[in-house]
Amino acid sequence: MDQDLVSMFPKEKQWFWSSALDSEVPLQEIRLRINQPVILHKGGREYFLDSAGRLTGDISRAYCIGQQEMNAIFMQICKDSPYAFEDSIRQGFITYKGGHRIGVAGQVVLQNTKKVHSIKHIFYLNIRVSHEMQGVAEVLLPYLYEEGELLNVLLVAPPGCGKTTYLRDLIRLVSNGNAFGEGKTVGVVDERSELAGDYLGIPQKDLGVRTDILDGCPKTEGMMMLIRSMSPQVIAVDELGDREDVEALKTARNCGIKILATIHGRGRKEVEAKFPEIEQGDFFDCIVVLGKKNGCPTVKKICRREAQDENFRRRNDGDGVLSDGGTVLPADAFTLPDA
Amino acid sequence: MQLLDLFLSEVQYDKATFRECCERVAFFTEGELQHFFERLCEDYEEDAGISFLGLFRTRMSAFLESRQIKETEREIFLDAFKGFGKNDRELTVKVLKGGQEKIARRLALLENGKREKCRLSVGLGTMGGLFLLILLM
Repeated sequence: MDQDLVSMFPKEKQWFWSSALDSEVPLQEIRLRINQPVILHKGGREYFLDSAGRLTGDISRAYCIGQQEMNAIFMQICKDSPYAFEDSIRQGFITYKGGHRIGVAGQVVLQNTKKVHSIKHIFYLNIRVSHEMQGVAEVLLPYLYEEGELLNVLLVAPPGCGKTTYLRDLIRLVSNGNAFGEGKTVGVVDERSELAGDYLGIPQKDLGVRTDILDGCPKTEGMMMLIRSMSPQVIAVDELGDREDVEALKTARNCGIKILATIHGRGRKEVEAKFPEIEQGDFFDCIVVLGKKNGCPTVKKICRREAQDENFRRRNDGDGVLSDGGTVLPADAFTLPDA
Repeated sequence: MQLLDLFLSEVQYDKATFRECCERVAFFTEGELQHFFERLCEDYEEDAGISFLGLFRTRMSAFLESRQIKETEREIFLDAFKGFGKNDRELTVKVLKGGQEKIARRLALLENGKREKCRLSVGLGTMGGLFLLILLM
């Protein structure tokens, strides 16, 4: 049983949650809503909890959580210091020990009627259980190196398809070194504490032995800080969002730093609409498109730049199928597949 | 007052959680107080799931009681730490500052009371002395 997860709940009620969490079926999330049944998502199925903490499918026997208990759980998660997590709460989540992420919702307090100042009466919690998947990105490695040199890589996927999971594992593999290249110094700008899962300054996920992490720092500023201070060989950022991010990446590239990045998108049209620079083909050497197959995240396509593609073509002349069932497309140009 | 100043700085400039504050305060204090905060943090780490605010209140109340601090003063001191449960850092800082002011007012009141008592004792002593002198004459 995950002790970090159990420690999220007040001591007097830990017996209740322990029995619910103690199961071989992997737990994905726990949804807590005030005066509503507690819902657990386990192994792709939805369960309620009865008053003894046992899983049940019967909503009439479901245990509902009260205001006092909800407050106690929230205070426990915040270590009785919600003010210390105010920036995080403003963004709608708190990262907990073990890398578990707690989404929060309630009544929003606005500043100047536009900006979110804080959230009060937090009566909705979504505890997303973290599962570190070491080794998932190994399947990509042969396509991300050229003569021992790492390429500039962009991972593209819609939400829930494992962008962050793949990027996290790639960072670890690049940092530690692997069969295709030696270990490199990686600088990570972890704006939303998703990659390293920092909790009170301690990374909860393994990002490798040569990785420096800037936690909670805006991407643009963070990349410049890393370039100035930590001299990374590789910079990794999750979820490119605006043009400023791309400009900062350009600066990094001009300094000879390799890039590992992710972006939201289903395909070419969506990404092109956001960043025409990517379409022009002088930015990333390799684009990996992730998707879902039978509900599981998988590598759908890998596209590499034409000019550097000899080795890739040779490999692709073979079966062209990745071990997890994703198809490798020949990179006939530097474009993403259509949405 | 100095103790609250340390807490205030930790919250204001370092956004430290209550437990982190106690850990750092232990570093800056000496003797019994240092031992108190170190023990508090250790016990909290060992006992996952307990409320740190609750643990602090119970332990600090007992600590102050063992040092002959009266209940009114104990309450005033402990109330200053209520700000740690607030969602907003500015509000937490304000509650801590408010607590400091309350403690300062109480100290002034106690000082005044002490002075008054002193004056009264001197007056009574003088009068008693004079009375004795008259009797002897």
